[in-house]
Amino acid sequence: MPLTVTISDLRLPDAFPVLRGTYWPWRPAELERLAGQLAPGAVIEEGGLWHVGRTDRHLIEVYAASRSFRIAEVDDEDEDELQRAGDAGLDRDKAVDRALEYLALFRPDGADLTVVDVVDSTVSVSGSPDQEPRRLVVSTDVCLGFSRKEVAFVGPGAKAQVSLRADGEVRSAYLMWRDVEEIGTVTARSADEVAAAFGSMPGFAGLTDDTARVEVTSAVAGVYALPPTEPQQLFHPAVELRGTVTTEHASLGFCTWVSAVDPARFGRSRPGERRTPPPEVLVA
Amino acid sequence: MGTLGVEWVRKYNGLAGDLTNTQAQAEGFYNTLSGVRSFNWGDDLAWDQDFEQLGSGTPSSGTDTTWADNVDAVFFSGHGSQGAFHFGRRIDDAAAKNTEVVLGDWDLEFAALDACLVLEESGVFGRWGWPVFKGLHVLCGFHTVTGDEPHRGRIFAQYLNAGRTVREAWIRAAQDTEGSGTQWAYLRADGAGGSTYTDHWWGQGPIAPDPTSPTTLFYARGAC
Repeated sequence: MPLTVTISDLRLPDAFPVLRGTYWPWRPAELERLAGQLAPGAVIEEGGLWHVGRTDRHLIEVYAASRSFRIAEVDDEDEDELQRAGDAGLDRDKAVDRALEYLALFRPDGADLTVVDVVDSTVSVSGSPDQEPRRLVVSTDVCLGFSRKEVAFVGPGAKAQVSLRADGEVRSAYLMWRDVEEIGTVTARSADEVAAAFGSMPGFAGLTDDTARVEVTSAVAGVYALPPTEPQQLFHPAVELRGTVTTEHASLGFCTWVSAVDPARFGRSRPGERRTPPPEVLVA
Repeated sequence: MGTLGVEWVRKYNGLAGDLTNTQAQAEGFYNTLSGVRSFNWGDDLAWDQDFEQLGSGTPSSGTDTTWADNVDAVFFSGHGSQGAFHFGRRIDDAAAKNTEVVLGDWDLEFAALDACLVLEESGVFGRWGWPVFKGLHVLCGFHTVTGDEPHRGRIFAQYLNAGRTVREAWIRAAQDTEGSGTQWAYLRADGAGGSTYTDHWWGQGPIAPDPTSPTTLFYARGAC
């Protein structure tokens, strides 16, 4: 017997685009240009999982499997989290302006970049169990998401973040992306169909409405982008669900993904081609 | 060379909803990190007492000196909450609670609890800090709920093998595998012997002496 699941405020389009990743390895000239933009003087050397470049102040990591990269300040040996942390972070509007200015050079073609959240990265320090911890802001992190023709990317592999010191200096940044081409459309599931599929998933097989209650607190639909370390051929439409499952034993949080289309009708980029398996994160 | 162990739970036997990707996640860490593989317990063979201190809690049947505290790095993948990480079999009470866990007094340096909310900020020093850190260097986890996904253990190990510090590797692995609504977190301890801020996995860089009597605890969190 499936669990009853209600998902309120889930907006789904009538159809999702079928997106295929267009992958090519980083060319030496591209790596050289990227190094010049991120940290002049760095030389990015081709490696296995990451192509890596360094200066005395920065470490650049370029993901071999996608069009993604990150840059971070290099810590001195005698540093810790408190180095340059302060009581307050950068003003939110200034942080957003600075982040968009920083990313302007790297924005991929055909994708829209939207600010999703601005979050302070913090450190708390405790000197003894009896002492109130001291809390400081290490950086103000501007989190951005990609979308394409008003369809958002969900999952980890299509997003960007710029972490800024209180003085506006960039402490670290990353951009995760793959170039895509649209090769068709596929009909979306309705919100009720998504809820029913989630309630029927094998993970709930041991639970009934008498023994468990599911509460969905957020639901976001889009096309799922794998981690930037993974090659990706097709982008499966999915709904990210967050919430809690309460049983007699415990009330536990979850974050999971449900297919936003009928899985049986998705998976081939061309008729007759080998079927691309759905991402392992999809539970229904 | 360091030693490592993993435990994971997919089947919760009606105690909670089952998970899908915990085995792949934990075994990705186990099979990728450069080191001596000591134990890999999953589902009904993963027990909360493997993480618990003998004599702590009720029932006080902890065996961590044989398992979690008998290796250099341990990785758990399953359900979590602010005060415990959860198992699927009631050998003990199916929850390794913060009141039953003391780590590092035998061997353990690094632990990753890949589970929701264990390292939520509010009250974290009193839950998983001062009572738990007795030689443990770094405890990695999440401030928020986190995804049931298969890649993070392997990617965390790949960063460690590539020479990133433990805290850098965890932050990168979390950012690579989560949407920006999730927040990574870690706790770490400094002792009289030095700072664990730049601790690496064995063979990849410096490691501070064990902070058996920590002088300072640090808790950090940020957006994935």
